[in-house]
Amino acid sequence: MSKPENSEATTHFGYQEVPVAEKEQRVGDVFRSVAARYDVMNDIMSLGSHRLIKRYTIELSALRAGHKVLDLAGGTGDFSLQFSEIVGPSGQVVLADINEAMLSVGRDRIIDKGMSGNIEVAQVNAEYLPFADNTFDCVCIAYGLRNVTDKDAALKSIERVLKPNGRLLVLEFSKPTNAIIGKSYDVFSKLWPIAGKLITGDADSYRYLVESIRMHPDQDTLQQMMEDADLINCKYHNVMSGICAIHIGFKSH
Amino acid sequence: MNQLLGSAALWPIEFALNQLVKSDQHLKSIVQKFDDQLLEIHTTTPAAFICVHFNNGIRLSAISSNDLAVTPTASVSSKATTLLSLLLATSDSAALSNPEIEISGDAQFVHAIFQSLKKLDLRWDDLFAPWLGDHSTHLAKTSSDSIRQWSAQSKTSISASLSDYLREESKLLPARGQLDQFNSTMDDLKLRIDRAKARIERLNSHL
Repeated sequence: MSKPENSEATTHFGYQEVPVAEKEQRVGDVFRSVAARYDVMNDIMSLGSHRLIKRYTIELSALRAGHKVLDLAGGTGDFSLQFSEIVGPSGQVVLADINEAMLSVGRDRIIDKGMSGNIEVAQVNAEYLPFADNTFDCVCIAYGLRNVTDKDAALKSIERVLKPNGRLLVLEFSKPTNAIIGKSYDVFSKLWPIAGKLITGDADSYRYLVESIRMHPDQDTLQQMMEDADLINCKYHNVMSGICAIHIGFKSH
Repeated sequence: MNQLLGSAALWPIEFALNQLVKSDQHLKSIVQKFDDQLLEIHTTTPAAFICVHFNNGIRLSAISSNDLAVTPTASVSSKATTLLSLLLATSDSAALSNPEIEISGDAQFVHAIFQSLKKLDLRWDDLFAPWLGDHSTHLAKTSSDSIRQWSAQSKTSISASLSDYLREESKLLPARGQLDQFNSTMDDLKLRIDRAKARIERLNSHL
């Protein structure tokens, strides 16, 4: 672990402590590096289970035709494409990500599938969402929150753009509740940088991924953070014994 | 974990249903009639749960409306066999008034779905043709039709033969009156034997 010598505020970047201003740039570099092969790597690292988990998350969104959804840190547009079908032509999906490379892959995919009718694409920082108050029925951030520098600011910003009674879904890696599964998962995740090196030619980005998962708040801490951001009825669903967790919170009336 | 597995199990069913809806305009118009409605189906034996959400197609979920924080339009609860027998029932009103089926919420919505299901004329070959090819699908369809026809004919033939057999066999059996008379004769005989035994005992006691 390297600690910056100057006295400015620092945050973690994987296991490293870096100046706050630097994290955004570093995370950006990671995702620029993996954007092209992001979906292939997801399939390999999760052994395909991420598709089931995403479907489960979408079910928990309880979206209906005509709803407005923000797919935050939506990257390659997996969720946006499915949200788009559910909300239909009367609804709207905003695919948002801070990283232009990921967003570009997502936008191309949406255009290729001919589903750009109700999907808007926006490059945004989750901490300062450029949307009016009370805009979205649902905000979904999947595998994105752990990369945000100031998570509390992001949660507050999300709460602001949600409509009253709107719901936030946070799908994120979490802390396994079963010791045996936890150990097996630790061993398995050590293979990710090797797979990353073979497939994308970049082991460092996947080393960061593993480290950032370890540094991410556990289920109860994240629930408390959501409650601190004025979200109500917050709860979480552990998926695969807590390897992932889906947190849900609502904006008050 | 159970919900995740349930969701995984429902995924291919949902996909197949939506493919059918997309390929059949009549079915599509029926599904659109129920847009934005949510039906919860609980089966008590085996214990299972499905949430059917009509929303730009059919969405199946293993998550309860309570967990989703939404209000269902209607809930149906019963044994799985009872719910399946609904599909074979001829009279919809009588079938739905079965005391083993609990309906809560908008009963008219359940009734409308049930009526629509009864009127469905699903062509599964339309669903498989894009994957199997026209020729293979045609072969599979004709084979399945032959098997179905053979089963139906066998069923009719067996039931007709069975009734003939029973009619002929019944002629060989004694009539109820004859049987009653025989039983009555047997009772008389038993009584006379008992009296004879009693008389022999009395005579023995005098010797």
